[in-house]
Amino acid sequence: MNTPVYIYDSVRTPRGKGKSDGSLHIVRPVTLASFALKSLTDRQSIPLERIEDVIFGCVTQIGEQGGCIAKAATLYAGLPYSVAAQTLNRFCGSGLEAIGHAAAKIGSGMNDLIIAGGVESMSRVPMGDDGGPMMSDPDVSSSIGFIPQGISADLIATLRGYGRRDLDQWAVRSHQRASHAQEQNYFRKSLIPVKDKLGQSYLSYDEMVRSSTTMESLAKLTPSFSLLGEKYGFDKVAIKKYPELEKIFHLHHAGNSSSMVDGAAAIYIGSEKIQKELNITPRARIRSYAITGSEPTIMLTGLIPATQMALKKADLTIDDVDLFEINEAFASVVLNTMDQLKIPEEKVNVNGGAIALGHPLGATGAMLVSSLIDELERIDKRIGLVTLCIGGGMGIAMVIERGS
Amino acid sequence: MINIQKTESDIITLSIENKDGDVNVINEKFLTHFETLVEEITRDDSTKGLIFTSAKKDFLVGADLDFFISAENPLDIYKLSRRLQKNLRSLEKWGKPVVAAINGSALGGGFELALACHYRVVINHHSIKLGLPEVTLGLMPGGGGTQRLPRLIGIEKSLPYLLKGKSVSPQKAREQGLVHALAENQSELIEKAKAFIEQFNSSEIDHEKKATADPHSPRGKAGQNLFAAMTASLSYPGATKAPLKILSSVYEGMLVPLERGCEIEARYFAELAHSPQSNNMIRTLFYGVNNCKKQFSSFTESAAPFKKVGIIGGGIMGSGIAGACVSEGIEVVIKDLDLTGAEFSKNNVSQKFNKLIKRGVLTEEQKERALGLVSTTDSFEDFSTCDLIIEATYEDSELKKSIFKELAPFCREDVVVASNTSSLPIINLMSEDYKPENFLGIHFFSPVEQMPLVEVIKTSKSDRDTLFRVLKFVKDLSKVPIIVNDSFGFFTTRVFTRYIVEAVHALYQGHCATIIENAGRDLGFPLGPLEIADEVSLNLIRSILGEKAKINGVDGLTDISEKNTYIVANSLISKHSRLGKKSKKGFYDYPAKESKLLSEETKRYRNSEVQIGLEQMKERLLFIQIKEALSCLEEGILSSATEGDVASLLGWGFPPELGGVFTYCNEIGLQETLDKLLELEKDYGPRFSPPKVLKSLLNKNYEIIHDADEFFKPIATIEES
Repeated sequence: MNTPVYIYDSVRTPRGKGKSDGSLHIVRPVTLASFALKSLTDRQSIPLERIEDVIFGCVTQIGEQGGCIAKAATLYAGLPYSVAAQTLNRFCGSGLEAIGHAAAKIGSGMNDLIIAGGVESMSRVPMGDDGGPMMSDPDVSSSIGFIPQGISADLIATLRGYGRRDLDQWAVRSHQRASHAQEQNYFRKSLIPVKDKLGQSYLSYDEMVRSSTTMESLAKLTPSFSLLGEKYGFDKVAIKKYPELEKIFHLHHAGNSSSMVDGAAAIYIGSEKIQKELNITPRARIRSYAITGSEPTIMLTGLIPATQMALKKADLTIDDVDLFEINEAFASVVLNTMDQLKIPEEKVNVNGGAIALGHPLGATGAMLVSSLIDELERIDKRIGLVTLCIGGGMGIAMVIERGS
Repeated sequence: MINIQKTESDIITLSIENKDGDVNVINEKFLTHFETLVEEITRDDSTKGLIFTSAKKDFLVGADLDFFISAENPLDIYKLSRRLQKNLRSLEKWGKPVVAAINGSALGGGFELALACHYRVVINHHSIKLGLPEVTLGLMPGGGGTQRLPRLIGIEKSLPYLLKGKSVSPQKAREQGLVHALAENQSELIEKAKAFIEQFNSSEIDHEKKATADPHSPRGKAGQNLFAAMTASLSYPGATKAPLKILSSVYEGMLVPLERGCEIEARYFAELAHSPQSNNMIRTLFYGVNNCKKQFSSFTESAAPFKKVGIIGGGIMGSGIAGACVSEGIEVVIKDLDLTGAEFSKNNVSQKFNKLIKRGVLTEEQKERALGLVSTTDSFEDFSTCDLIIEATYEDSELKKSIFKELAPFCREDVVVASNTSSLPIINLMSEDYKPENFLGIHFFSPVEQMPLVEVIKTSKSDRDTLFRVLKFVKDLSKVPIIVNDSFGFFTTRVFTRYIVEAVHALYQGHCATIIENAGRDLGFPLGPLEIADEVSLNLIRSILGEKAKINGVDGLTDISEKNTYIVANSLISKHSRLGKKSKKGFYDYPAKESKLLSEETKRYRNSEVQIGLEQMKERLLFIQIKEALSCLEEGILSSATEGDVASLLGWGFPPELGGVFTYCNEIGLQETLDKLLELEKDYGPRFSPPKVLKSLLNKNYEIIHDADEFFKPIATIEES
């Protein structure tokens, strides 16, 4: 980035189970979002009128998450009327896109101080409720070669020769790392318990993490996408594009795919000017951002070129990066990314990933950034990279440098 | 075109009668008359109601396909569709009752006319069919069918009719809600029609409410999931265009009111009807098939029918042929090695009939009558009264010769003898005991009850009258005959085997078996070449090649691809007992409860240093068939290109959208065909070498291959190039 753009602070809610018995299920998404906003603004002494815009990612923008939920949440949080808001949708990359969007406006001089983040209540507004032509319009869907994401993940596994064991091993790792991080309270800097008006906590930790997850417990789970692939014909749609494959091995299941959760995050993004003006210390600097499209049938490989582009723009190599957050949409996505880019495993998702923690679609990107900064600070390292695969075939990546 | 009758009670009956043809079709004449009538009738307030019926055997069976083939501009087709749609809608909105009194089959546009009516009553006769079969010719309904049918019976129920061209009996139509009532005869039909009109209470069909209330409306999640799944099921490698366009027409149309939905339908209709894919399918599957069925009809009509058919061999083919005969009331006697074998065959025939009873297509009574015509034997003595004998045993020339020798003493003087061989030259099978003019080949395809094609093989000695009798026989079985001249492999087996041989050769060369298979599927064949090899069985392929080697004499198999295929087939059979699908292992393994997979033995041929792309493999598989077909043309095996095209589609599943081997050449042009074959010859070997006939046709300035007028002569004379 030509002009410096800084991350001043970040908060994130814990991720609640994305079902009707989840701890955050009775917390409306507008409440979650406003809670994140309030928590962030309360713990800093930044004058609220200085905030120019709120940009929140949210994917399933319908019903409770429709009607520009970001603005609803901004008002509901009691922020000044002068604070504008925007809700954006770039599928799973929305949270990171919100930050990128904010960075662009700030870097270009359009704005000085923005709160970027995201919110998603998958328990209240299920994924897919908003419809869309990519999946269900026959003329569109057939011309793209659309297949459900889970089958894309299985397609990657089949092409790369990953077995069930490989995928399950990564899942176990995710749970072990997340569980350890929870025990050691590694998330404490950004993690804010969600509280009701009586002061009670709905949830103070990521409740999907299971330290008891083992290869044996995962082996019992049946693959989730065989029926869709074999009976409904999506496997053949994949093979049409990848004719070297005789069949698609269905290896992903609930245990080695990201879980559906509820959550929100909010991050202060600001200019150098605002730093001087308000005398605040940035926690990190945004070094680069990259967005790219990729083959839509396999869908989940875009983060590879995105990562390469982001590194190139920051004038860095894989070896320069201390920590990677590669969103664990599905286990094969992470394995494929590490293998293709030769990323050392010990630098990846060190405190677990979406398989254990959950993937609140519109908020995840922001959550990954906040976790990354926390960990860079904790282990005193400098460079981090966040990347997510995105529906429709896209990839997004951002390089962050700790400190100013 | 449409006769008008006004009754005393001010009900107008419109009786459709096409004076220019056998059946009622929607053509320009009909449409113009229809338009005029609609305009007049809807202006006349004194009318109480309208009844549509027919003065011919069928009600109305679709549109005149000539128009689509000849239309230069898709806009003309669009306008045609809009005219029909608008007029049907005018009647629907008129305010007075319109009834379809269906006294014959209502298919395609005829059924769409009925759908636009407020009341549909149909005579409950087994010969009457109702449905929208357009998709089977690569077309789609263009008279509002994709809009009215889902609104009538719901999206989910309507899709099989629209996407598969399923047609139903009046009984089924009533059960499914396609029609309102049944009638036993013409007078009851008109009675019910009138009764509806008399008690009509302006109860206009509420299309719009029904569309939004549909549980699978594309506005809702269930609908979105349904359309996503349906799209996937129509997007496999090699899938044809029409079904997806129909699905889009339904999806997009159900999001808007009926009239606007019709505009959407008209656009997709014009796109499809103008497409080369649809034109190819119409040309071959409609015109081509009809020409084959009708050829020499003036002769076959007066030919003497066969009364009793003797079938040698109670295997799958023998049973199938027996079933086909007795279904048309022709007596048969089946002979096998022993009585048990023959009885087993009769049982197979019975099983097939049971399946038809289950589907509601046949009655128990009809089955009993048919089975009564089957007798079984282990002795040729019972063949003495047969006037036609068909041999359907193994593909082994020595075996067949010995069977014919054994049969000879028992035959009638004037018996017609045929072999069901798929490849062995007839001339080599007959002995001096037989009159060569009455000895030919009748090649059925498996499974007989599903495959309409029959390849009739005549020799240089064949008698015209015998040939016409055999043609009549085939037509009486409701099959589609093509006539070919005797040679090894005739036409279908010769060309079709190339699909398999090229694939196995590529496998032997080390190419990826999956790419080979997906190349075949992506072209539009129903199965990959190795899959098909398993279906026909590896030992049959080995036999065919073995026989060819014998015929070639001391040279054996000179073509490298045939040589290598023989090696592979032989190796799989003798070393690994891999005979094909029937033995649960061939190129594929066929596990009990899972889907089949290419076997390890097959994959062992893979050499990672060679790599062929999908498109290149497709070219090899396609053009080797083109080359072989052109050779057949050159050698005078075929008597017309049309028959070659019909054989392609009906005989071995050649991609219907390509129209057939010769239509494909014509589509890309003879020059391009020549250039392509030369290129492939350079890259892959002399088996692709373009036949001389190609050059000579080009020299004569032929751009495409035409059908010949002469019958016993080959289609093109071979000139020095």
